[in-house]
Amino acid sequence: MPLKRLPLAIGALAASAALLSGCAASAGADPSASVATDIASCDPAAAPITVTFGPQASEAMAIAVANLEKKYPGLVVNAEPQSTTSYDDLTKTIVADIAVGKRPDLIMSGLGQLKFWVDTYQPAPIDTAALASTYQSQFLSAGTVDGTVYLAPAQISAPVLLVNQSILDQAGAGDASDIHTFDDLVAAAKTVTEKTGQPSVTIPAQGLADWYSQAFVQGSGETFVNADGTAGFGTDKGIEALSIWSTLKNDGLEMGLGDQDALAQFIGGKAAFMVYTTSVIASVQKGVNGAFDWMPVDLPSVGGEGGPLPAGGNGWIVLSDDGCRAAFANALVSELLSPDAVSGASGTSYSYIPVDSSAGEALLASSAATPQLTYAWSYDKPLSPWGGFAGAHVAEVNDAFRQMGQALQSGADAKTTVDQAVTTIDQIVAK
Amino acid sequence: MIRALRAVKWLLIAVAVVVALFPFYWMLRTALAPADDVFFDGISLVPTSIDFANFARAWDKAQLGDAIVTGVIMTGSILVLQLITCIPAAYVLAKVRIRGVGIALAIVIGCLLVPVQVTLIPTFIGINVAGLGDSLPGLILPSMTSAFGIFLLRQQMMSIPDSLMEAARTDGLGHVRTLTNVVIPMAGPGIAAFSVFSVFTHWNDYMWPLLIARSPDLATPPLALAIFQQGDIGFDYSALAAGAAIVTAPVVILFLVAQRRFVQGMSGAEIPG
Repeated sequence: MPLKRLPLAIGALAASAALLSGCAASAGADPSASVATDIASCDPAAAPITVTFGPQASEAMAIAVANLEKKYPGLVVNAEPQSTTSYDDLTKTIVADIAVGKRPDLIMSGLGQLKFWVDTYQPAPIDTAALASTYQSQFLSAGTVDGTVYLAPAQISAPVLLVNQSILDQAGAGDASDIHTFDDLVAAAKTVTEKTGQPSVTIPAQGLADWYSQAFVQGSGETFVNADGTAGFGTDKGIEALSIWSTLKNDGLEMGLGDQDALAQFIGGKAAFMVYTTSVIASVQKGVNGAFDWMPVDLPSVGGEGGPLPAGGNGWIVLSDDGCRAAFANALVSELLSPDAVSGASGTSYSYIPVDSSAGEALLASSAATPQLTYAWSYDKPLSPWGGFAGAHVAEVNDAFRQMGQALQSGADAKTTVDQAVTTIDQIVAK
Repeated sequence: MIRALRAVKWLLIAVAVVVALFPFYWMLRTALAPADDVFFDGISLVPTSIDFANFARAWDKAQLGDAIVTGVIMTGSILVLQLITCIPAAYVLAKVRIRGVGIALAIVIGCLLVPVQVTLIPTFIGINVAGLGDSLPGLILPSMTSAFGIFLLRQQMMSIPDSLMEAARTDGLGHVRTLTNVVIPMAGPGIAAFSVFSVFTHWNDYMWPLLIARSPDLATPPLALAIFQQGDIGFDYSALAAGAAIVTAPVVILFLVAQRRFVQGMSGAEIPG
């Protein structure tokens, strides 16, 4: 090659590499799912379905796929678990797949992302009539938007207060089961802190600030999101509920930790009280390993009210853009929520709330049913959907809650901080 | 006075070393401690007992053997491709006097300013349109060249005296032989530094493999370790630390082997004329 052409060839090579690295056309996709057609009119061999889910559902999926393929010979279910257990990461991979025309028929979603999927990709309704008779239908409310069930809750959890009873006993601070209101919590925490000289409560305000905020507000009987989609928690009672963070801080009771540090401090016996989720009870039990007495109790509220708490965890959403595939995806949901599959998904090593009553009874009858796990496995109170603000703005709204939670956790004035959060969120959802 | 200043200097260095190495030590401590020793009352620098069960659990549950093989193939292939594309490009930008070199350099520097996240989705779409989604080539090809690599190597090559290039030309060497016989040997520290940087970056990359590698047998080490970070049931810290220790070992060994050249290359050491 003549020397003068060499730089051109090199330049062409570099340019093609750069093009491959960054430039490509975007592929469009119809955001709506198809309504399931009558499954009897569908040929299983002609409607292979694809499922995208995290490894936490692997056991349930294996059971469900085997049952479904037996029921519909010829049906192919492509169901490989993704590497990630994070609901945010799972959402990213699914959105990316849809962008290149690989829309899955059935997806696992974190309950916090329900509104995002409903508002952005219009999933098909869940065929609730096909669910097992033992499915605890009161949990369907956690997957319902505007009266339609779009998500079938599978591995679910609820906000809970974990209490180190040993510390309370040493400090003479009463019994965990006596804590019903925020005032009860503050009084017990003050007694413990006076004894130890250290802050004794942790309500993490990082990853789940929006979830805890919703739990405090709804648990106190207030509206979290108004019917018109604006923030409903700016009322006196809502502010009072959310002020638990700043009250604890200003009384020298709040430890000011992030999620994982809070968990470590509770398991390490340093935190007397921790607000977290029922799904960590099994991990806490393993970590504590009998070193001290502890108990999960219902989340306290203003005046001990008992409104529905937001559900956490995950569930199934049908995204099929084809009627027959939507029908088979719905059939797979029924199998995923059958007693056998729920037993697999909510097994004795986990503390998810069993969504099937017979699976729950089996767990409670097992030798693994400690008092702490019994709390999670027998949880049967109605749960609400997580969030409720416009799906397109979930990330921005959650950031606003994180900022509010962290400001309150550092002792900021509750009314000013909550009012500011209400204004910010209303501006976000009005866009 | 000088002795006191020297003592302060060594003290500061010692503190910096402790601060830098402590997380690594803590990772090893957590990995070697029994699982129920992770959350303990009080701080102990030494675990109550040594337990290798965490390593076995991490290896089996995360299928780290397969992940490490995938990671080695991916990072090795990316490195080879980057060296093949970046070295000639850097040579042209540093030593070839043709029109447009300045503009090309400006484009390269401009590319350095574009965050990876901006090109992530277009690249993902492009790779899938090309039919390379969920494949090893799909993991590798988007990183086949590097603006940072071109720039770093160009700076290294700029310090090679022009008189050497003229001498090579006088001896009848063309661009290819000048590049292979003169420039590459002299730019060794820069190439070594970039190689270590490239391996670190792609070995630890999480986001691109998360999007593109869907089959479990294509999981890279960071993806494989994600199984221990399930937020809603609590992290498995022991297995996570053991897995992290396993996947960190190859890059630590690589750094120790290439340490001298890496420092030389990153500090922009002058090439003697």
